[in-house]
Amino acid sequence: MISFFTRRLLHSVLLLWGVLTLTFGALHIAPGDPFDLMISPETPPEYLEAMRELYGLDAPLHQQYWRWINGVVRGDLGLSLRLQRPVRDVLADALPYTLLLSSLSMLVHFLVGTVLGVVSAARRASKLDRTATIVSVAIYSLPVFWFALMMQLLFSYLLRWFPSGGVGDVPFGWDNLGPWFLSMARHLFLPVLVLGTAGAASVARFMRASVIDALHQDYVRTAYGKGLPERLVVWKHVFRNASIPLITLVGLSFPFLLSGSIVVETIFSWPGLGRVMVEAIQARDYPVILASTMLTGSLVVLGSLIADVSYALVDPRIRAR
Amino acid sequence: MSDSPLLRVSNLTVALHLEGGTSLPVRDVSFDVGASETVGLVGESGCGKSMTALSILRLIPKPPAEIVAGSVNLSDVDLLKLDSNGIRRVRGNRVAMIFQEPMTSLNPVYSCGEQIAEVLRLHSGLDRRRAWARAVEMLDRVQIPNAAERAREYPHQLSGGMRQRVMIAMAIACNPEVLIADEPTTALDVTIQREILALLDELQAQLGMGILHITHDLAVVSESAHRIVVMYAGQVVEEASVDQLFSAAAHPYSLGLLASRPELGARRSRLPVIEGRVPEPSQEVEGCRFRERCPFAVDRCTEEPPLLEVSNGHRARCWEFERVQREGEWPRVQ
Ligand SMILES: Nc1ncnc2c1ncn2[C@@H]1O[C@H](COP(=O)(O)OP(=O)(O)O)[C@@H](O)[C@H]1O
Ligand SMILES: [Mg+2]
Repeated sequence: MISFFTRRLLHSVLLLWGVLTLTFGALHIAPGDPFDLMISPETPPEYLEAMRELYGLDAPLHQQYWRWINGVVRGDLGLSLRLQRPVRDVLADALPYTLLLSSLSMLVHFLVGTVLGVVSAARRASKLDRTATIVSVAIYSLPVFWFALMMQLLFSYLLRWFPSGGVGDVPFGWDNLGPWFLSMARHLFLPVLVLGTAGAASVARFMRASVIDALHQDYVRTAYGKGLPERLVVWKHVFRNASIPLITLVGLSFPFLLSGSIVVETIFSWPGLGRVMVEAIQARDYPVILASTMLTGSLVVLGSLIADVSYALVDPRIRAR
Repeated sequence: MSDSPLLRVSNLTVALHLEGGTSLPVRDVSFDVGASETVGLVGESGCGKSMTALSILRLIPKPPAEIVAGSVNLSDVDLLKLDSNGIRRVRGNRVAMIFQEPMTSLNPVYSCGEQIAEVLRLHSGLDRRRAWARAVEMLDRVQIPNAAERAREYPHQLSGGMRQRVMIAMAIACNPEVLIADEPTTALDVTIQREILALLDELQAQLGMGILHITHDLAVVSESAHRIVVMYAGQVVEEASVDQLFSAAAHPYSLGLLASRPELGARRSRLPVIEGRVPEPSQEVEGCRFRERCPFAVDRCTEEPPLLEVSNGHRARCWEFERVQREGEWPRVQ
């Protein structure tokens, strides 16, 4: 178990390094640099040269790469070209918002998806199953951005129930916890709804198939033969087996959630990593792009690491290896 | 039939509703199992033995299968009339079942001990610790070495024979009155097969339970069964004590089974076989359902025979049973 873990950790670090190197390469292969966007035709070339020198963009590529890796290892992510602030601070401001949004969405995603999938499978061909199937296939096939815009249109422009975006202006404080929470909840509702249900639909489809498959296994007959009630047969014997493949889906859903949150954060002006990334890419803010890639990459890798470990916890056949 | 049988299956009929229409894989089946008695239920595969066995505990897959007639009396209670809570209290408690597939009949994600303890918590109301201790005891009882350690192991860590022992431990944990064993040794190799059969005999001697032992292989039950019920195409075609069946079988199908029976453990030579195959449940046959494969068939066989009394406790579904008994052997045709 321990060596399994360290091996996986080593893989993860190598994987991250690979992703970062590719991103670094891609950024620099693309023609132009950040200053192309900041200048006018009248900007003297000497000034440009000076700026490039200041930010180290005149050095040969391998030197830039080396300098950057060195910084990362020491925890120095550099300075945002656009915001003139340490990249670390920019990310530290955005990360909690993204974590809040994606963990809540993930909760909706798996809780709703799993329960719906299991119940659909256990009550196959019932009215509930058929309705759930139609709704989840419909949601699954909608593009996230379109779904997000429609929800925004419906709930904030037409019904005016929820704000169309942002995080609200109630500051956090121990004395106004209630108002802060309420404002937060109102602002989170639509982004979580969009991100959560989009994923819940696919989890429900997946879980339904997995449960139906498990229901046909011989051990289910054994469980009924023991005198267990259906509730226990389904939620204990079937669910545990059926959720093994679901764990892979949890791991794989991290990238989905993070890329989904880029769209959702942009549409709902949510000040998370996704928006930081989009703005950095528009401005070719190299240090921010690299660092946020590293951060999201780590989250994705962490996700699959967690999935692998939970795999081993749930399935004794893997644990033994 | 004994005076007060423990388990009495009467006129059990099971329908199978498939796309092509409804058929009857089990037709008017009746038999008894007494305390401390082993009844062998024998027939080729596809004869409806598993359907019969599963119907006793109402475990048949529904849909497509459905019990349409008959009763299953355990002492004085008709199991087919119980509500869902009532039948659950019988399953695994008063009547327990083991299956052919020891590889897949245990849940791969729970330890063997947990799977036995579960049934004890359910029916005997033991708490976790006592149920576990008792589960270990049960493993010991079915002669699994190092029971305490084995209890913590998972099914994939055990051999087929060991898994079947775990299944048996689970089945006898609540001291059932009847054990239904559906081809319990078919998937095992010969030495293990013998060990499991001996174990079942021993447990029966200790616990006094009735055993319904289902098999397609007469040799398997020839030593342990007291009585044999032969099934063909959903019907009981002969019922007799082991001695009666082996010395004076009265149905041609039983003769065929006796002739096809290899020594327990011998390589399956395909020598004396009954030509043809069991008709599908959906296939309607006029008269005797065995007629088309039967070397003894006469004109009268187009009329369906009832179960005829051959001698005391010996019945056969054949008009010609006297001739069958006289000849006493499956004709060896080329
Ligand atoms: N779930 C099912 N769906 C369709 N047909 C079935 C099903 N289970 C059993 N049958 C049919 O019912 C008949 C009896 O099967 P079974 O009781 O399993 O026979 P046995 O145990 O004697 O080999 C067979 O013809 C089989 O094809
Ligand atoms: Mg069978």
